[in-house]
Amino acid sequence: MTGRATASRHDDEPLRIITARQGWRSIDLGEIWRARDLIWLFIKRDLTVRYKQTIFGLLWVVLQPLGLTVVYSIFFGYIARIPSEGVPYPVFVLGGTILWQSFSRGTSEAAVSLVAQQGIVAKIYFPRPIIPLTPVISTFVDCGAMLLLLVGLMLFYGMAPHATILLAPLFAMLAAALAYAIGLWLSALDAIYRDVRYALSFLIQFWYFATPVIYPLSIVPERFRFLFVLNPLTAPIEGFRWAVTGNTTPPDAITIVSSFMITTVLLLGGLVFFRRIERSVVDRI
Amino acid sequence: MSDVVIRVQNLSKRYRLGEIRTGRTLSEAIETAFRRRFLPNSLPPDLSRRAAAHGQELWALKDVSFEVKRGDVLGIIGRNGAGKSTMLKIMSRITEPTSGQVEIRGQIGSLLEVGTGFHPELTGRENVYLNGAILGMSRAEIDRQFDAIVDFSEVARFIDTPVKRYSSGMQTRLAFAVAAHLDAPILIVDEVLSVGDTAFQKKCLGKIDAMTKSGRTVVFVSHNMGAINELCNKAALMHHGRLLGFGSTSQMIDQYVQLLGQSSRGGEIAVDENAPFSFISVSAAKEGGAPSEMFDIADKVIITVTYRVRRRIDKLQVAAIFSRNMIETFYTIDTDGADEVGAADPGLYRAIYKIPGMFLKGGSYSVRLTAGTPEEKLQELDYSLPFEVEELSINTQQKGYRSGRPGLVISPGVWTTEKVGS
Repeated sequence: MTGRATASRHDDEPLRIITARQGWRSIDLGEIWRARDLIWLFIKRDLTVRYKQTIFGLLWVVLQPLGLTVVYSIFFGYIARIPSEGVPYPVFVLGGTILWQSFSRGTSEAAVSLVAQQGIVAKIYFPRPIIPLTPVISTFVDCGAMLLLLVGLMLFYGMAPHATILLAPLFAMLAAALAYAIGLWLSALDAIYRDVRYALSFLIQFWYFATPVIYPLSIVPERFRFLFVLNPLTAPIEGFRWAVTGNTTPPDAITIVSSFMITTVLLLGGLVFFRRIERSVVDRI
Repeated sequence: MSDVVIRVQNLSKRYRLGEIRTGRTLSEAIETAFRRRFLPNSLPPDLSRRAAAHGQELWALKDVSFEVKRGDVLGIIGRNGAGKSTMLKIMSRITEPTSGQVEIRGQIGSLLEVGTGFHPELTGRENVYLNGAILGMSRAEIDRQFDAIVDFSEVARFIDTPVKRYSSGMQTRLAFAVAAHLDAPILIVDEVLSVGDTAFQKKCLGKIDAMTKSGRTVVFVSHNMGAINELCNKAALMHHGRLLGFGSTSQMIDQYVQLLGQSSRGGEIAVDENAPFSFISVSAAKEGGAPSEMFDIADKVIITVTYRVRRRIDKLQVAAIFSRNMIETFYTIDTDGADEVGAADPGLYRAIYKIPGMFLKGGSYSVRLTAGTPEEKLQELDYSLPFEVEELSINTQQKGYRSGRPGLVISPGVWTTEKVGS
């Protein structure tokens, strides 16, 4: 819808044919790129609205993970004595929580986004795949602020950030891509079956404990490790923590490749599936 | 080079009635599938009704074909449910057709609603950018038009205030201002004209008029035949999803009026043979005409009621309650003109109530009848007679009695204005 043709000669005007699109046709990525102004404005809207009318405003971005870090450090670090691979437990747990929070919130918001935006969807056309994309981006923007908190905490413990911190955004992007992939699947399913929103919180909670956020992979018995290779979130969580602290165990190559491949398959499949459902979504929601 | 910018070919859109509902849950879907497969006769009432609906299809559009040439201003007319909105939604790519196709040559802008995506927490400025982008304007374009938009909306002072603090009129004005600056060579417009207060209305009309005269192609849906008549050079008449006619606006409006006339029916009323009083029939008609369901605001509306009296009733009164758009508008009793309420002997009676033209505003009316004496109610009809009053002969855009404006009836009062000083 953007990318206005300024054709003076009629022959140059774009010809669009609207017809019943059959089958599992994929998504026009160029169209999403041309809607980047709109994506940016949606993100800005999400960020503005999220912290308006709150006393602490943007502070909430860091207050929440800070609070969690304190609680986790007491229960898992101090009482349960979970090992933390040579860094103080608060640093360890915050290093995992940052990406986990962005991932879980991005996924949850993306999953209900299509239904939440139905008022707009029924009234105007724009490339629909950007609907689950914008909540993912806007929650991952918070990552940056939380990263500052982590660096602050590390300085407090007398640790300097490692040069590998430059790799951290790559792991964050991998997690964001995964959140978007799952958001595509779930938001399309949610438009048909509202079960999705009820199953979602359970899924997220289960996933939380299946991912090495509050514990290191090294305490997991060898024979169960392959399960973590299959969990596409293992690599970004461990990788992000390693990149920032430079001290904890990095994910091995197989875990990273596996995560990348699973995410890619989920993303491409999600785009196709979303496309498939999107055709009739206005007639359903 | 062809000068056809929109070509609609054999366009059809089917809705399965079972699908039009808010999200069912997975378990319901499984249960329905299971029962249908193994226990065909055991569906609970709710599900079996849905299953029945499952077989039902509704063709919102069926084999519609027409062409719109560059610079045409096409009005799509027809009753509610005729397929007008579905047509606009397909052209705007909001929903896909079931079969057939639309070819559109050139950038298209669609205004099915003003203020789509407005967020109450955002400021006027933020909403202008967001709404503009949703409508398909680029950032550069909004930057360029921003001052003009704010100027047009008349809310410049509050442009950095969240719109939740705006009055609804201010919100509408801002929303319309954005829409009015959407600069696409092909515009698809759904009845968004009827917004704002009188002065703003006039400004919008001017803007729309300028748009249509600037060589843009416009497809326009409205129930206001006066506006269609004034703005459009072509019209498409739709009825039950089919294209009934396509041609000059005045021809199509004539055909539409005829169509509405044909579908009228008098009220059939169940009569209790033992009651002292029973209504037999009630109908609405134009002066000297057959019963009708559709009137122009200039038409007289003549309500005819027949009833039978079987025993002498000392003080008989028949009353009618007129409602417009579900709101009770006025109440009238057949003895209003008499000094006292008289008696009725047994027999068949006909009562006629005449409403002058230019009194009922455009809208959906219904008439409910009751009969009784000052002491007791004899009969209250369940049936209420429906009829429509439409703004066919007059473009009410700038009139005080346009159907969207405050007030329930067209006032019989008369204005005279003279200059009494310098």
